[in-house]
Amino acid sequence: MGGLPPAFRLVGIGWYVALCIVLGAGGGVWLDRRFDLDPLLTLVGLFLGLGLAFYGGYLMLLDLLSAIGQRRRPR
Amino acid sequence: MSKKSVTIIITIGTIVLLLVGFLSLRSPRPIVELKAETVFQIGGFPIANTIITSWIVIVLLTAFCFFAFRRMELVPRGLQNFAEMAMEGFYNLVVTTAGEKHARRFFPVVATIFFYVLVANWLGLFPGVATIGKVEEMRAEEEGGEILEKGFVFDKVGGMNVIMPGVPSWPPHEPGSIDLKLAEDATPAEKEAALEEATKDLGKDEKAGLLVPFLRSVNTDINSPLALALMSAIFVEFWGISALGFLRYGSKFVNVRRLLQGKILDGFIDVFVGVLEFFAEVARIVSFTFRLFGNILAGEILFLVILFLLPVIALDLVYGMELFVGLIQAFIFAMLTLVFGVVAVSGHGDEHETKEESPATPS
Amino acid sequence: MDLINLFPLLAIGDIGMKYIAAGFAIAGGGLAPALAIGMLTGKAMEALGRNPEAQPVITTNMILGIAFCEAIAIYALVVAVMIGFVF
Repeated sequence: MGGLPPAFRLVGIGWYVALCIVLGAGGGVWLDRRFDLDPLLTLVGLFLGLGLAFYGGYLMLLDLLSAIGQRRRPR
Repeated sequence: MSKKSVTIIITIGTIVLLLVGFLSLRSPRPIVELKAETVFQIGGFPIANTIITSWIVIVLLTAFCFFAFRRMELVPRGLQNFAEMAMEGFYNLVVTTAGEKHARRFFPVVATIFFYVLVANWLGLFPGVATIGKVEEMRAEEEGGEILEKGFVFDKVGGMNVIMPGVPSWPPHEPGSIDLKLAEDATPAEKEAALEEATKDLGKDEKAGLLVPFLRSVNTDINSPLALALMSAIFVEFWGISALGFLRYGSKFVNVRRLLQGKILDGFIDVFVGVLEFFAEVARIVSFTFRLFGNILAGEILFLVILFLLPVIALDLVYGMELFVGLIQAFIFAMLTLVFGVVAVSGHGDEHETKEESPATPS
Repeated sequence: MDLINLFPLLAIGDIGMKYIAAGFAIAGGGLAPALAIGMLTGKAMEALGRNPEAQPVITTNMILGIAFCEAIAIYALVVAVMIGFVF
């Protein structure tokens, strides 16, 4: 995702955050259904998904901000 | 690509997205729950889903400050740079409103209010908040229990129980909901019978009931804006008393000076105005609370209704508006606290003096 | 001659009156704040046109004034939501 314009990278970050949370929570629900531990695994999956989403989103956002800063500097 | 073909592609894409959204992505009919639902209890004390979200907000803010200011460098980079930018921007705003002399006194509380409400409002827009939860099944009326008159059937989509789905079908109808047709004065036995009747042919993984989300936007619970408004009111009084002294600040409310001097009519007018000031303070608490609560709750209701009516395109527009409203409400709460603090600090009879340091000079 | 055939509006009943009340609450309560915000923004635009350099001050104070006006609309909204969903 290195050299794309910033708009596309932001869309990528958004999709990453949303997918993380959905997969985390959905996976938790599915595992709950299999092992009948309602709603413990849903919660674990939800918070895991949220944490991963925040962490990965933060790293990608820092990357993007520094890339924008470098663009503006005169070459 | 010519301009005309781009226009055609965008139009067709929009219509396709609208159709796809309307047919297969709609949610059940919205039920608005004004009270925050309790998720679990700690020894009799009910923990609501807004409390859990507020814990997450606190953890986020604390972690941000911890990581930003861990190693302070003279020329800041990275996270520290961003934090200093935000702080300095807000501090300049406070200085333009409150004047150089008092800005330091006001800044901590006002900045706390601003950043807390901002992060809380924006966290409520994340995917997963107010949509993922457990299903509280409908119960018959016993001592304390109540039958919910509307419930939803949460059913399977592709082997996994997706919470809050729409039921894809043609022609599009109202996604799987149960309506119990109860008369106004049905007995508990009749309610139980109606419930049995309605839920007797649910599938294996289908549950009927009301969705209790695990997380919910903090300011949709009226207790949170109320707490913030009370805190801001107490701080405004505190600033007034600490700047002017108790007697001089109290003379704004209990103004008996002219009465004691002997001018009866003016004296009574002053006493009356003092009582009105007191009621204005109380009314301010109510107005702060309802402003923040109403704006955020209206956003949630709008989301639910748009999810039911026209999911894909209109939802993006509503999302943008909610981002803006969250920011503006945080800004307004902080600024109003600041303005009333400035009024409290500058005192009642200072208008006769020359305005040397007029606080709101344009920068 | 059934009264209900003469005056079909009598069939509204209690639930109907509840929703009509909710509709009136938000309709009336949204009218005045909209007018107020419109007038306020108009005056701010006038002031901005006269003195474009004072734009930060004008904008900040305008937003504060709009917040006060909007609070009234929010009171009406909360009343309408309570009538419709809680009672």
